[in-house]
This record gives sequence, structure tokens and C-alpha cells, in this order.
Amino acid sequence: MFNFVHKCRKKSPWIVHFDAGACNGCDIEVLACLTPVYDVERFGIINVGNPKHADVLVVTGTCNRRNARVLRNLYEQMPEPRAVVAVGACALSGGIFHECYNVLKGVDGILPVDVYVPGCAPRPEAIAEGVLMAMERVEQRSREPHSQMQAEPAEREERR
Amino acid sequence: MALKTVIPFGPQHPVLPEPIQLKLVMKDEVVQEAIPHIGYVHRGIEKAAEKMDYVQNVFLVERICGICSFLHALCYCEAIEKLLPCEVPPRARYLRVIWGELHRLQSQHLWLGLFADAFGYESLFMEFWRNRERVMDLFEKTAGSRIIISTCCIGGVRRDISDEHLEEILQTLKEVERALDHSIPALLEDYTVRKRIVGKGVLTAEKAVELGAVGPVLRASGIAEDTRMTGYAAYDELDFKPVVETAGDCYARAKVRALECYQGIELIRQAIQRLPDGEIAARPRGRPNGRVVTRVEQPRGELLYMVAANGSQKLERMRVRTPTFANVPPLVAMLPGCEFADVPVITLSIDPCISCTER
Amino acid sequence: MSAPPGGAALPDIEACEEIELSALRAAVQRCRDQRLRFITITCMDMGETFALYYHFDEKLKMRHLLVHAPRAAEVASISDIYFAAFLVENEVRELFGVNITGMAIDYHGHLLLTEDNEPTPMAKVRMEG
Repeated sequence: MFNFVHKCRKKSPWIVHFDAGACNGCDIEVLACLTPVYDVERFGIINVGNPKHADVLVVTGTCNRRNARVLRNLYEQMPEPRAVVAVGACALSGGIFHECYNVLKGVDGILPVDVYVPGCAPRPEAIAEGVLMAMERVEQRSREPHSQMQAEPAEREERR
Repeated sequence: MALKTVIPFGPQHPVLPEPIQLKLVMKDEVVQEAIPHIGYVHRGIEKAAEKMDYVQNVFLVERICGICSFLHALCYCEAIEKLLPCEVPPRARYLRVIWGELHRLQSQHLWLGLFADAFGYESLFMEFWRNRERVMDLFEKTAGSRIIISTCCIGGVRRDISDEHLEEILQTLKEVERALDHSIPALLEDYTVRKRIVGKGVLTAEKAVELGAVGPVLRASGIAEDTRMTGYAAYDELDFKPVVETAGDCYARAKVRALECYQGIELIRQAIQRLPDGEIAARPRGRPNGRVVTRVEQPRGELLYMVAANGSQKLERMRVRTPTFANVPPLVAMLPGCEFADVPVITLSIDPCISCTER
Repeated sequence: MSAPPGGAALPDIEACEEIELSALRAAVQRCRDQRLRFITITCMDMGETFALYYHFDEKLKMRHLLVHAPRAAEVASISDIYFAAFLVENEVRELFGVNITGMAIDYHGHLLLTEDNEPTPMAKVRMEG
């Protein structure tokens, strides 16, 4: 039964997208993925608004102190197993804004990032591939015998 | 006795692609007061512009906003060209109009799609975005990139558009126009859609000026002000009239933007027709010195750059005032009195671009 | 600003009227009476003083007011005359440390920055306190 769940999960990654201070270039490319020409829905990728429904968190932008809190909050609400995709040069390292006073230099300082999609702005194909790669990770994680998902609640508490 | 509640709207919200938070003070279903909270995407670009030299800044300002990056670069280059001073060759001025209007065209498509999505008309959202991809392909063909095309440089433009590509632009514009003829009536004449947007978020002409509204928000309230009328780039040699509506509601704002798509297509055709031959860039000499204010019309409204230079490699100060920054106070004035279900529609009707706003 | 070596006049902002700090509110009120559209405020840190440009638009022609405010001086808000000014006034106070008082909506220095940011990042001289 679990096998079936793992298999299905991989076939339909649901993503939640958060703009953590991008220039909108990457954001519209994430949205462009969903629209007819690129149409990632054919891979079962659906953009949802609610983090509680999502498997993959797609983050664009540089991250600053105020949205780091929101970002962490979103990530914590996502159910296990989950994965994070950082999209664009800014999300990787801060990009051209590396030196700015309000920039935290990339998402990986805040969340564990699984897939990095470079580019300014990355092409929609690259973003779609990044999400699919993240799903591989999610599937692996869900098969791990002691993954948090399968652990008993008491055990999960201990882990924390 | 109705209870007053405060509902935070944003920064991450299904219908809101932008991280802005509105604290809505509600009485039952009616908004009493809206307080905007921004700062979720503040990076500090104005400070970074003082650290980089004036040529590098072109790349920085392009990344203030990915939707209208060309127009940011254009406005900045116009400012530096006034300070150097440096004469831009005529062909470059026309090429700037072509790329600028293509950017406007894709931005208006983007907005029309998001607006349709705001009241749940998803198939129309898809229609507009499919049409937008045609314009994006043009960017990729002419400039090599989809979003940040980086073709504007100080003194002119970096690339030429070949005759072959010009022909292709004209051909694609025909297709875009045909698709618009098909999808815009679905937005503006549909009974259900009209129910959602007519008479919502009304802004009178007097209020619009008082609150400093710009761009389509100002023009939808009956004021014919379009910064392109000041004649930067080659706009002084092209014929166009600003699109004006008088109702000042969400419907009028949607209509202004829809008609500006056609206006943009017309302007590109004129520019291609009158495109002169010659150089595409002048070599800038010297270093910028002095202070200057330039303005260009972005898809969202008037964009202002003030540059202060002191004859060195680095600028003393670069100030950016983006259109959404000016349109937030009108939004704050529009929301009280509306129903909660209309908040996303009204918020989107100003076409918020928060990464512009906070820089 | 010093003159360039050639002696030619530097390009400067046209239609700029320099006024005293105390006359600011009256001048802005005059603009309001003439129904000008308020565009924005630009602040420049000049060391001893802040140069504050108030930009207005009159049928696509720009008009500017320039005020020199000493670092510690109190600058009265104009957001009761032009409501639209409240955002930019908060921003200027936050990023430069200009002491603007009486804003229509006061974010108390947290419009763009959070508590753990360095204060007044745009100012060239760090203010004490």
C-alpha cells in the first residue's frame, strides 16, 4: 500500500511558490510554467496556495530579514516528506544584490535546499526540471524506513 | 452590534502573486480601513547603486523589476545620457521604442491574465498567458533572453534588430492582435465579469490627483496624463493619444490596459515603419556630472529616476520612484467600503509590483 | 556643488525652488491649492544637512522644492496636505534618519526594515543613539 502511495506522490508534485524578494522575473517564469505553452500540469505539477497541501516549496528571490520569518513559517506548515527548490541567481547566492544591506545571500541560509535552479531568470523548462528533480528527493525520503512521516508521533517528538 | 475584526491579507496568498500585506479592519463583510505593510522584498538597491559604477548600474536597475526591466534601464540611461552629455543615434531611439512597447505589451497581458484569475476566470488567464508567450518568443529572438533582455546601454542599444526579425515582429503582432480580439471581449463584455468589476473601487479624478495616482489608474479616472507625451526616446516623432476612461472603477482600469495593448501594437508598427538606418549606439565619453530627473511611462505608470553625480565613476545618489509606490495610497483610499470578496480584485486593479515598490 | 573644469554650467534639476525649512508646509500647501500632483520626496545625505527634494507634477511638467534640513532638525510631515506622502516620508525617516514628525500613518521605523536591521542604512554618517 505504501508503495502505491510513494509511486503516486512522485507522479503529482504539488508546489507552493513564495516570492522572497525576487525582481518578479523568476516569479513570472514560475507562473509561465503553468500556462499553456510550458504547461507543467501534464507532469501533474499543480500550483497550490496552501502550504499544507504542498510537496515542494519553490522559492525565488534574495530573502531578507522580514520574509525569512514568513518563509520558515511556510516551510514548517508543509507536511513531510517535502523538498525545497531555489529558483534563480538571487535565491542561490543573492546574485547581483549580494552586497545589499537587506539581503541574506540566498535561501540555503534559512532552509535546507534540495535543488538549485540557476539563471537570471531561469527558463521555464529549467524550473520544471528542478521541480521534478525535487520530487525524486521527496520519493527517496518517503521510502526511508525512519522518515519522520512513518515515525510514531512520540518518536517524532523525540526527534525534535 | 457588529464586531470589528482585523484580517491580515498576504504576504503569501493564493490569488496574490506579490508579497504585500494589507491589514484589513473589517466590520462584518465590509472593509473599514486598510493599512498596507510592505518590506517583504526590500533589498536596498538605491544604496547598492552608490557602490557600483555608473555603467554597472544599468544591470542593477534592470533587476529592480523583471516585468519592466527594459524600461528601468531606459529611464536610467536617459538620465546618464543627459549628464554626460551624449547624443543617442536615431535608430537606437526607435529600437528603444520597439523593445519598450513589447515590454509593455507582455506586461499588460500578464496583468490581464492575473486580473482574470483574481475573480476565478482561469481559462481566460490561460488565454492571455498563451498570447503573452508569443511576445516572449520575440524577446528571445531579438535579444536572446526572455525576461531580462539587457539591450539598453548608455548611449544607445546593444543589439540591432535585423530586417528579418522586424518582419517577424510584424507577423507575430498580427497574431497577437487577433488573439486579443478574441479574448478581450470575454473580459470586458461578459455579464458575470462585469458584475464583479463594474463600480468596484471607484477613484474620482480629483481624488486620483490628490493621492498621486499614476499610469492606468490615473487615466482610468479621466486624466489624460501619459509620460510618453513628454517625448523621450522617439515618442515625440510617433503619433499616439493616451487611452482615457472616466469611470475610475476596476472595469475602467481593465479597459485602459486592454486598449493599451492595441495602442502598443500600433506604436510598434509605426516605429518599424519609420525606423531609420544608421548607428545603434554612441560611445559615451567622460563621466556623469550634475543632477537630473527623468521620467518614463512604465506599464504600471510613471517611473521617476533622479540621479546625482559628481564627476566620478560612482554616483552620489540614485533615486527610484516606481509607479506602484505611487499607487499604494490610492489603493488604501479605494478599499474602505468594499466587500471582502472584492479585495483581491481591487488590489490587483492597480497592478501591484512590490519588488518595484521596495527596491 | 563645484563647477566643472570647463566652466560650463552643470546640468541641474530644472524648475527647482529652494526654500527655507520653516516655509516648507506653506509652499506645499500652495502646490496643493494649484492642484499639482505630488510625485515623491528624494533625500540626499549631504553630511551636515539633508537635502530634501519634493517633486510635483503639473500636467507633465515637473516642479521641485528643495529644502536643506540640518541633521537633527525636525521636519514637519506634509501627509495631512498630501496623504500620498505618508509612505515616502516613512521611508526617508527609516533609511536616512531624517526626523519627520506627524505622519498620517506612522510605521515607527518598520516600514521596510525589521528590528534586527542596522538603522538608517542609507545615511552616510551614523547617527548616535
